Amino acid sequence: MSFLLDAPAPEHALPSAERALRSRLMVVADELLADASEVRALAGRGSGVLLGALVHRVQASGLDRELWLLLVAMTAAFPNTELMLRTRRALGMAAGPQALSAVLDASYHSGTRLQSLELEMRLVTDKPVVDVDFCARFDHNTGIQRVVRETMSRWNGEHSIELACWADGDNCLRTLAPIERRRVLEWDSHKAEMAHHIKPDGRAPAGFVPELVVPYRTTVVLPEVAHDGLWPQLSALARFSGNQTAMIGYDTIPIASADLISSHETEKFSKYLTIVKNATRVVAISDAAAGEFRGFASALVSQGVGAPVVGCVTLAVQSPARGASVSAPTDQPEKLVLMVGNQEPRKNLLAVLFAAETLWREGLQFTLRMIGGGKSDYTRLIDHEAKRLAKAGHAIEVLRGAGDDVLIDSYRAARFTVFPSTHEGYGLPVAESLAMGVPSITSNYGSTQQIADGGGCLTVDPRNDQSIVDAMRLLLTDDVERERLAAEARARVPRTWNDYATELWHELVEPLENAS
Amino acid sequence: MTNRLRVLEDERDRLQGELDEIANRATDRWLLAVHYESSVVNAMQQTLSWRVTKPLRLVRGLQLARLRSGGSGGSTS
Repeated sequence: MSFLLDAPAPEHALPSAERALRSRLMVVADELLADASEVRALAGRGSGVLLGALVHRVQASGLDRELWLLLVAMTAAFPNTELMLRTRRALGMAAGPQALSAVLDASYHSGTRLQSLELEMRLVTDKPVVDVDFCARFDHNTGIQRVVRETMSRWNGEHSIELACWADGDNCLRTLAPIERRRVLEWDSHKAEMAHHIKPDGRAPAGFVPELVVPYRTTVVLPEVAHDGLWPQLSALARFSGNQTAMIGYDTIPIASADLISSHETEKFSKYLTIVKNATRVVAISDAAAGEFRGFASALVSQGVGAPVVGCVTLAVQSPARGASVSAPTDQPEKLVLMVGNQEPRKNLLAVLFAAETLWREGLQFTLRMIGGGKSDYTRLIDHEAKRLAKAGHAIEVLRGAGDDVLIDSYRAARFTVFPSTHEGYGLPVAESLAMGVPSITSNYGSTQQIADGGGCLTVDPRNDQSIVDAMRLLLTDDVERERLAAEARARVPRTWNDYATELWHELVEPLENAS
Repeated sequence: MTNRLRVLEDERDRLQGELDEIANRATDRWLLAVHYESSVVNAMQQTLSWRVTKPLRLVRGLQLARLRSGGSGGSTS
């Protein structure tokens, strides 16, 4: 720790931090103090004078949104609820000239580490700000990331939106670097070039100096599930900033199926719900997920807070796209039963293994292929079972880390897919299977039943193993029934990402834009 | 009368200048404190010892999370 002693504290703040503070305060002053010449005159007398004038303005108006904006400009960070309340109370007690020191003191004692003090800010008042944090910073593209990238690439062409991600340290939203923008809006071409990139570490690219993005009296769209470091800032933004907050609701599985999820995930999700609690609008990805979010909204009555309006726009269904390097289809088994998806308890893999073993013992010939990864404590269990079954002479394959080409070849070769999950927000593997014209066995309630209603599925009670055995036996032995369901699957009207993006804008953003 | 007014105005400006100075100094000190603290923590996190001990903190964090959820805290608890 000697370096702490070696470097004495400087006498004055860094000039770059001073300049950035003055710049941010002037942006806010232009918004809150009507007279531009007054703003210039105050700034000419020093940042402290300008800050003092803004503090008095906020104290006089008593508006939370103005206090929120002032704290953002001052700290280059979105305040949490504790800081908002502490500062509001300090201002309530401070008379005249003490107001400035009351605000400085409240901020200093908030304990937040301020990491963006040298950044300038851009106030966004005339268009929605969309938080695409994870998609911008990481090369990962499964469920939620696909929804966000497919949607944003379409919204960006048709509507005026400001994309943003979180600055290092998660203090505040910031502008995207060019590569981050491409990662969100041009995923396919970005992916093709990915081999030449260094794997991103989530930090802003070297040499890129971002601006803070501060939404004010506009709409903030949260299409991702914010990670657990962000809930204090986002819930305070939704509650105090005067912005309307619009979210995509994927599911409430970590709470509603907490018995099948790690307690850490449940704890994280319960904090995420504090953002939902303060949101204006939530649009879920299925009727079943909408029901869950409405249930949560109903529970808020006991807290005396306004609940978000909950709507639904069902996800798009598109068959997975083949990668740039097309591999020749490998030899596929004659009767392939395919199970795709993350391997975790609620996906009911053990019930499928039981059903398969029962049918193998009856003498039926088929291969069971499971594609998907998962956490090691559960995949170990699946691997153990798969080894046991293989040793007994049964045809079972477990593929992890398989690419899109393997997935597509597997769908094409499959006699049917099986997905008897006990709890889903949507059920993408069922939708993908049907989009490929392959019948699916899935659960007889919730979002998977909603998908099944369009044809091509056999539905089962996922908690009744015999029901899964019977459905698999039927599709393995009855060619006519299998072909009937395949025809139904092929006849389904495809729902495209264009449909989804357009409807989501109408349902999620447009009502808020019209209201403001 | 005009002289008296000018004297009072000068006095007012002088006092206003003092108030400005106080506001600027308080703001500068606040900025210095929060910026310096952030820099010190940042510097500490760049040190070899901080990076080497990261796995230990990770394990301890998991132990504490397990404790909170009613499990055993492990050998260091």
